[in-house]
Formats: sequence, C-alpha cells, structure tokens
Amino acid sequence: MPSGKTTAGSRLLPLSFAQQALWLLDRMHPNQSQYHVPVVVRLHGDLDAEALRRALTRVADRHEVLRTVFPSVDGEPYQQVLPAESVPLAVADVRDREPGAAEAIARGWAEEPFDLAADRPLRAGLVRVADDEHLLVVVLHHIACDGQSMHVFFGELGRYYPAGAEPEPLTAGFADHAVEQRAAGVDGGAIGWWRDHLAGAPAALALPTDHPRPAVRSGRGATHTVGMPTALVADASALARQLRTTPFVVMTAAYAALLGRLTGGREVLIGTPVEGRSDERFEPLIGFFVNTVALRADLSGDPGFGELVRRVRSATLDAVEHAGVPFDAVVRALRLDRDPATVPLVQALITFESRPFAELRLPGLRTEVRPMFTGTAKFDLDVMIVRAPGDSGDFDVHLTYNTDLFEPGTITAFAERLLGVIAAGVADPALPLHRLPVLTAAERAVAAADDPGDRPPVTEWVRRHAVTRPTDPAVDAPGGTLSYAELDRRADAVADRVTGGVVGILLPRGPALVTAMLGVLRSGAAYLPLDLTHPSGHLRRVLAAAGARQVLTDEDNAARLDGTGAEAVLIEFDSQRSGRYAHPHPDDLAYVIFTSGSTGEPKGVGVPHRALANHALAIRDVFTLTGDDRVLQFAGAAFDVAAEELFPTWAAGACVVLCEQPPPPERLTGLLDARDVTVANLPSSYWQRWTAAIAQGDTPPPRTLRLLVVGSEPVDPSALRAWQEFSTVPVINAYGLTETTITSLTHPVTGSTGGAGVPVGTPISGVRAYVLDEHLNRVPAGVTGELYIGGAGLARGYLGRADLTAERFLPDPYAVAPGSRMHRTGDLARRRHDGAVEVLGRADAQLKVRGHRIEPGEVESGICTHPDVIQAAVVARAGVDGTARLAAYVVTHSGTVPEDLRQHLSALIPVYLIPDSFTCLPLLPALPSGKVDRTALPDPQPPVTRGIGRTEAGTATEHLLATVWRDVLGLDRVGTDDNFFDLGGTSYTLATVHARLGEHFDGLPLIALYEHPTISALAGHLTHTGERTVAAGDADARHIGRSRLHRRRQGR
Amino acid sequence: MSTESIPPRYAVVHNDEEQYSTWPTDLPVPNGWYADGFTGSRQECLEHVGRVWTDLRPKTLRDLAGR
Repeated sequence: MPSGKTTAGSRLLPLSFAQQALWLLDRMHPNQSQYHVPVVVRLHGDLDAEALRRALTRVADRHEVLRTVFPSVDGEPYQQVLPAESVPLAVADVRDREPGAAEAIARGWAEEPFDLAADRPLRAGLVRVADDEHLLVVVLHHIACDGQSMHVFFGELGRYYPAGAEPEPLTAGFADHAVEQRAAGVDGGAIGWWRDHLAGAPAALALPTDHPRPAVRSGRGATHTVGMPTALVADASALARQLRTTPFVVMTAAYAALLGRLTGGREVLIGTPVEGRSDERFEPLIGFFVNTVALRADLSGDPGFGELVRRVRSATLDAVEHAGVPFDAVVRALRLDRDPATVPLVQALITFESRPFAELRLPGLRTEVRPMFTGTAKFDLDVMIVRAPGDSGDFDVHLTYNTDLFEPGTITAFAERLLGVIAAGVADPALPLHRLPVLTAAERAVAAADDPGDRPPVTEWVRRHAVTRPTDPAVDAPGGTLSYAELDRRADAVADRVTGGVVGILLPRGPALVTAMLGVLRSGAAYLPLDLTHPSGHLRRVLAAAGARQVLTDEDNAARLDGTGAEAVLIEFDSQRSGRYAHPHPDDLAYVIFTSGSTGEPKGVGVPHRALANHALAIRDVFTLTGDDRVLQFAGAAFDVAAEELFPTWAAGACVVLCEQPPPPERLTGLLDARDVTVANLPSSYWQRWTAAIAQGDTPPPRTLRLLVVGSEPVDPSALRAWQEFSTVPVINAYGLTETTITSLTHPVTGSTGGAGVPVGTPISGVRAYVLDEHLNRVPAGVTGELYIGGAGLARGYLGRADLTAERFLPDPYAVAPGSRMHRTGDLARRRHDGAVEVLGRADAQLKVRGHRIEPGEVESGICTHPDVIQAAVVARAGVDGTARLAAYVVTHSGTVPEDLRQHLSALIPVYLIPDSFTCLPLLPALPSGKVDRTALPDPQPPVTRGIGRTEAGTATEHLLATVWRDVLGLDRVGTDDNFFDLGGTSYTLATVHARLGEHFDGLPLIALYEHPTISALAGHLTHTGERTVAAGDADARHIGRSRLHRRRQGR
Repeated sequence: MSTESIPPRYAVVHNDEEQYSTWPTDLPVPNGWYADGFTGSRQECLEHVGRVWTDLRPKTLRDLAGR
C-alpha cells in the first residue's frame, strides 16, 4: 500500500486554486461533461478483464486524488480522501449489435455527470466489440488530472497488468500540493506582473462567428479532427531549431497570425496549459497540476513570420516564468469574472504534444490510446495538436469549438487555413503576416468575370415603348396620366430647351419633374436634381461645383435662382418637335448628385450612362418588373433612388406612380391601394414605422403590392418578422451608394432570418463586390473587412475633386478587364458562407466600449425584439468619467422606456452589449434621406444606477437578498440597483451568496446570479420565474439535474 | 515591445483612360495600371493627383470631344 503520505486524515483539506476554479465552473454549469477527460483505448488480442480491473484498482490505491471527493460547508469546498476500494469496471458486449454501438456506449459513459461532492473522479468501462477486440473507456474528471497524468495513469496501468511490482512509493499526495500552495498564497508581485503585462490586451477575441454570442455560454461544443502530415511537423521543427525554440512556439505563432488575420487585431491572447509539478515529489503524481497562462502575441507592424515566432517565444518564456499565479487569480485581478457569456481572458487555446496523448503497453495486446471528445467546449476554439498513435509520425489536429458560435463548415475551413498558414510561414519565414495565405481553396477560386455587354442608354427605352405601346401609361399622377407616346413627345420638347453640359432641375414633385429628368438626358446633357428646400446659398455652391449654367424650373421657383449665376429655363412642353436626339457615349454623364461628405462639404458624384444603363436593366430583372407593374415614386428627386424608381420601370414598359408628398406611414396603405401600386421602394426606417402602424392595427396591410424593396439603411430583423406575420409580400433588401449607382447588391429575404442581421446579398448583374482587409486582400468568409464595389456601376468620380476621387476609387486588382477601378465604400462587411454579403455599419462608426468592438446594429436589433419598441439607435457617448458608454435611444408604443427592457436584453445579448442608458424619444432625428441622424441625438438620460447604495430594499425578497449581500461582502449598506461586482464582489463571493441563497431558493442556478447582478434584477427574476420554493434536499436537486440531462440526451 | 510600423508608402498610378489613383508600393500594380513615378505618403500622393489630374473625363471621351 502507498506510504509516506502527509495528507490523509480527517481534517478539512483545501482545494488547490485551480481545483477551486474548476469546482466553481462545475457549479455554474452543473451536469455538463465539459470538464470530463474521457480516453478510449482500443485493445486487440486476448484480454483478461479481471486483471485489468485489478490494475485499475491499484492505480486508484496509489493515487489518493482518484479517491477524493469535494463536499462543501457553507459554500466552501474541501477535499475528502476516501478509503481505497475496488474500482468498478462497467462491461458491455456489442458483438451482435450494429456498428457504432460501441462508440455510442463509450460516449454515454463519457458524458455521465460526476457529482464532485460524492462521486470519485475516476470511472472505467469495457466494451467487448469482438472476441479479440475491446474498447477500454477511462473517464477522469479534470479536477483530478491533467495531460501529464495521462502518461502516469496509463504507464502504471500497463505496469500492473496482468500483475506487476509496485513502483517506488510516492512521497506526497496531490493534497500536499494544495496545502502548500494555499500556505504560500498567491505572489502579489507576480499578480502585479500579470496585471501590467496584460494591461490593454484584447480580453475578448473578436473572432467572426456564425451565430451571435448568447447571453449565457451553453458549454456545448464539437470537435473536428484533421491530420497534420509528418513532413509539415518536420519542417516546423526545423524552423524551430533554427530560431532556437520549440515546434509549439512555431505552431502558436501560426495560430496567432491566423487569429490576427481573422479578427483584424494587432495582438491576440492565446491560452495554453503549463506544467505545474514544481517539486520532484509531485512528478510521479496524477493530479490537476497544470495552470493555464495567457500568451500575449504581438502582431503589430506586420512582421515576418519568423519575427512573430521570436515574439511568441519571448511571450512564452515570460508567461512560463510567471506561471505560478493561478489563471483564476489573474482573471480576478483583471476583474474579468463577471460575464457568463464569455470565457474570461482567453477564448482561444492551443496545446501541442510531441508525444502521443498516452501509451498503454499490455502484454499480448495491441493498443491504441486516443482522447475522446464529448459534445462540449471549454473555450470558443481549442486547438490540440498531438502525435497520432502508432508509428506513422503523423499528428492529429483536434479543433474543439463552441457550437453556440460556430458551424462545422467554419471550423473545417479554419483547419484548412491553419495548416496553410503553418506551411507558408515555415516555407518562407520572411513572409509578412499580411501575405500569409488564409483563403481556402474554394475561396481562392475567382468567380468568372461578369460582363453584361453593351446595354442601351436609359433614354432608349421610352422611345421604344412610345412606338410599340404608345397608349400604355408611363406616368400616373394625381392629376392625370402620361402615355409613353406623350412622355416621349414632352421629353423631346424639354430636350430642345437646354444646351448640354450639366443642367439643373428645380421643380416640385409631379409629371414635369420626371419628364425634365428624361428630357435632359435626351439632350445629351446630365441632370442635376436640386432640392426645393435648400437655401439659395447652397444652390449657388452646388451649381458652381457642377458647372451647371442652366436650370429647368417653373414660375413659382425661378426667383430662387436669382444670384446663383445660372439661367432659369422655364419648363414647357409645347415646342415643336425638333427630332434632336442625342446618342450619349457610355462614358458621358447622365446625372450629378450631391452627397454630404463626412466633413459636411457637399460632393458632386458624376454617374455615367454606362452605369445607369447597366443599373436599369439589372434592377428591372431583379425586381422582375413587367409592363403590368405600377411602381411608386417615393424618393425625393435629389436622391438617386428616384432614378431607380423611374428608369428600370420605363425599361420594363411599366408605369411610374407619382404622389404629391410621401404620406405619413399610417396613410401609406391607403395611397398604395388607391393607386394600385404593385412595387414600392422605401427607406427602411420609414418602412419600419409603417410596419409598426400595421401591426398596431392603425392601418391595414396593402392589398395590391407584390414586391417591397427596402434599403438606404440596415433592415431591422424584428421589423421584418413583424412584416412577415401579416404579409406574404416578398421583401428585397437593397444596398448601394451614389458612387456605385443606387443599388449594387440585393438580397431577396426568404423565410425567417433567425434574429441575425439581414444581409444585403449579392451584386446585381455587371457589378462586383469584394470584402477586403487593410492590405486589400480578400478575407475569408465570415471575416469582417471593408466592402469594395467594382464593375459597371462605378461613378466617374467626385466632380472637381481629383484627389478625393483617387482616394475612393482604386485600381481593382481582382477585375478581369485591365485598368478597372473599384470603389471603397467605407462600410464594414462580411461574406457569409452562402456568398451573401452582410453590411455591419460604417468603418468609422464601429464603437469601441471597454475594449469590445461593438456594432451598434447588433444592439439595435436586440432592443427592437422587445414588443414595445418601434425603433432604436445606439451610439457611444462619453460617460461621467469620460470613458465611452453605450447610449440607446428608443421609440416605443408606450412612450416610455419599458421597465423590463434591460432584463429583456440580458437574456438576449452579452453583458458588454447592454447599453448603459436608455432614452425614450417621440421620434428619432432623421436626415433628409430618411436615415437616422446619429449626430442629432440628444444627451442620454443619466443611467438609473449611479452611485452606490442609493435605492433601498422594498420587498421581502429584496430585503433577504440585501442581508445576504451585506454579510458576504462585509458592507453596512447595499442598494438594490448596485452591481454586485461594482461592490467588490468576485465569482467566489458570488458562489458564497449562491450557497446562502440555496437555503431559501431551491434549484436557483448559479448562472442566474451572473445574469441578474443587482438585487432588484435578481428579486424580479425570482418573483418572475417563481423559483421560490420551500427548501428541498440536495438529492432532489441532483435528481432534477440528472433527469434534465437525460431528456437532453434523448432529444438528440 | 510593440514595434511601430513604418508608415506605408504609396505610388501614384493611372490607367489607359488616364484615371488616377494610389497604390501601396509593396503590392504589385494591378493589370492595366502604370506607376507614374511619384511615391510618398498616401496624402502626398493624393495631393499630387490633385495637381496632375485636371480633367476627370476618361481619355476616350476627351479625345472624342477634341476631335
């Protein structure tokens, strides 16, 4: 029997720091197999099962930690070493069962939960697959083992089977390590080193995900395994030797480089386990000795791969030197332990094992030891590179990932990218990081050029229809209808009155305005639409900038041109037809539209006929317009969307329906139905308010509409769901810029969007869209980059601004036609795996709050799921302390901020995305285009929770909670709106609170305390969910947990 | 510890239509584009473009108009 132990006995032994952290995680995510370490050994040959069981028992006899349980007193766990007893070996026989039965049984054993307070942390089972083939399944709990333990465990198992001599007696037990660690305490200086070392490091890995991060991590995961050829490992090892480091460092550098490319970060934090057997007494022990350390990989300055290896080497040496500080203590020192959505500090892990995972030598048997993976993930992405069993020298790369976030295809692609980066970096260590190949083979395959060929100028269509269908309506206005023949005649009359160049149009909505637009094009000139509401100073600047000498106007408005230097030409349609008909060159300008730049100075965008001709036909086809359609003309003429309402419609021989003024949303249905409108193109914020009006019953859904196009702004997914509840009319999301000719990408919205953002889809015919990084590389699917648009839709540039044109219109390196350009949109975007593009907001509007990169749209979508909310806008505003805070503005049915809005959000989005303040407005300020004017939002209402201890407990539940908080935190006074962590609480003290509350609220999960970190929120939650029950025994709670687990399994 | 990156350098480039732009000097110039010899910071290049690109019309169009 083992001897020399110093720890056995009846006193309460403490847990090591790492064990205590794990114990806490087990409490937070009860009944999960995240921290199980299952191993499967395939055994070929004659097995003596009884001898194997005896050998297992001898290993457990030797190592106290395998007989240790972790009961708790007052929420504080301790180790209790149980006496040695025979290790049970479950046995199953699947010789006459279907293939896969053995694996299913193994998986069932692997996932069976451990009750740390009562169950020994070692289980074993044997599946008989054939007469001479067995699977040995060993399941350990991580609280009792680590990677090195596997070698010890299987080494001794082999020694004891069938019967072997006892090795050197152990001189210590695992609990000695815990006791010594506790006595020594945590080195304050070393904690300080970590705090300094990690200051400003990105504690949240902004890896692109397939699904939004849920408010609480489920722990569910999956593992994808690929092989890494011997040759690649050999090359990596050769580079490692050359740079005087290890293959681990080379692999970690490649992992860091890839994460950097996928996140766009200049540094990344990667976790890795570090061996912690600090004393030779501990070396032969099984136990949880490893500590996770954070490697801070500095990618800044775009170094060569070899230089990155050097940086990672020095980061690794630094981290290992300070590895004595428990990971959990680092997390607490950095105050990162309060968000149940995210694994704190490091979300990406790497392990490299140049040895096989473990080896088991049993006389007369051929064995193969492999780690097993349960359907769980401890991290977002955990890469384990380990030598495969056998003599091939190949390695296995096991990628375990969080399935809350990632789809299998994304991880398969990640594995391909990782191997590609290792190969390229090792082959050429001088290669700068931005040149490392990160695209998969499928992504590298360039799509064939999409050449739309020659398309007739838009002036052509009305002429053709005037011949083939002269009496069909081309324009329907409140005062009457214009046939194609009449529109054609009047356009010619207008063309006769102007002299070329750029011609301004200053007219109110009506048939004259749209006729003027066509007429100017007929003359060969470009039109410049002017807004009647603009002051004359603005008109003068715009006319001068565009070089327009004439303006088509009417008697009511001609005076507004006084002093602008431009000639007022009164519009009339009675001139004799001259037959003058210009044939514009594709590069001639069709119109000039002024947009306000970020500096506020208007920029004139010149759009050539080529772009407009391509757009008209492509949009006609995307909207499937026919001669039977009646298309609403909604946009003001000064916006290019007006051209989208006219020219594709006329290209189809359909009718443009004019209205005097866009109606308020609640009157839109009446207008559409009265005028038999079949297609409407609306700014999405306007459509959102219309949808809300219909949902509230203020107005019925439209009857004649067959297609709705929304655009100009992000489409809110919850408004879309509301629309789909009462209407089957399909919706197209349209995206484009004046610089790329109105709409460039479209997405037909089909079915549910599942709460995710609504994509803008794929380019229209003749147009190309790229998502590029800062080095103009195309980025992999899912990765955020900047959207660039090339192809036939490009504007000529900004009139009179060659510098600005050169800045925003770049050489297109991916075009087939030589000398092509592409426009830099300034919008952040990512391409989904199905090819559809999602726009995430302006590159310069992405918010950074407390180190998290935040897309306001993501928060806005979450807010809009609340039934009372109609519209929302989220911005970053400086808080009282000068740091950026998230401020939300909402328009609601009730006219107030819903009381449960914060609680509603906390169930939906991570804590860091929840705004600090909510302000209710009657209406969001809008720009003339209808988009939300974010700069005009007022100062936010001060957050409700300011100052500590302000609000007194009211209800009995609040009083009870306040009492427990005060006791545990040692405070005289706590307010019901104070955040537990702001009061100095930690994950440990929260666990103590949880234990104390367990006397009153049975079955209350620990995670609920993270989700509701204030007394009022938790009290509300307790009342709301009716969690309050009379005290029940722990056994019942475990029973409930297990039957839940059982249901989950059956549900698979 | 972090090395400050050297500010990237750009070249002024143009295509056959004599449309101008800038391009990073460490990347190969795309097909159909030519460096015109001026290099500098992006801002310097854009200022240079502002001086030399006085007519935004593509060359084809200018040639037609001048005929």
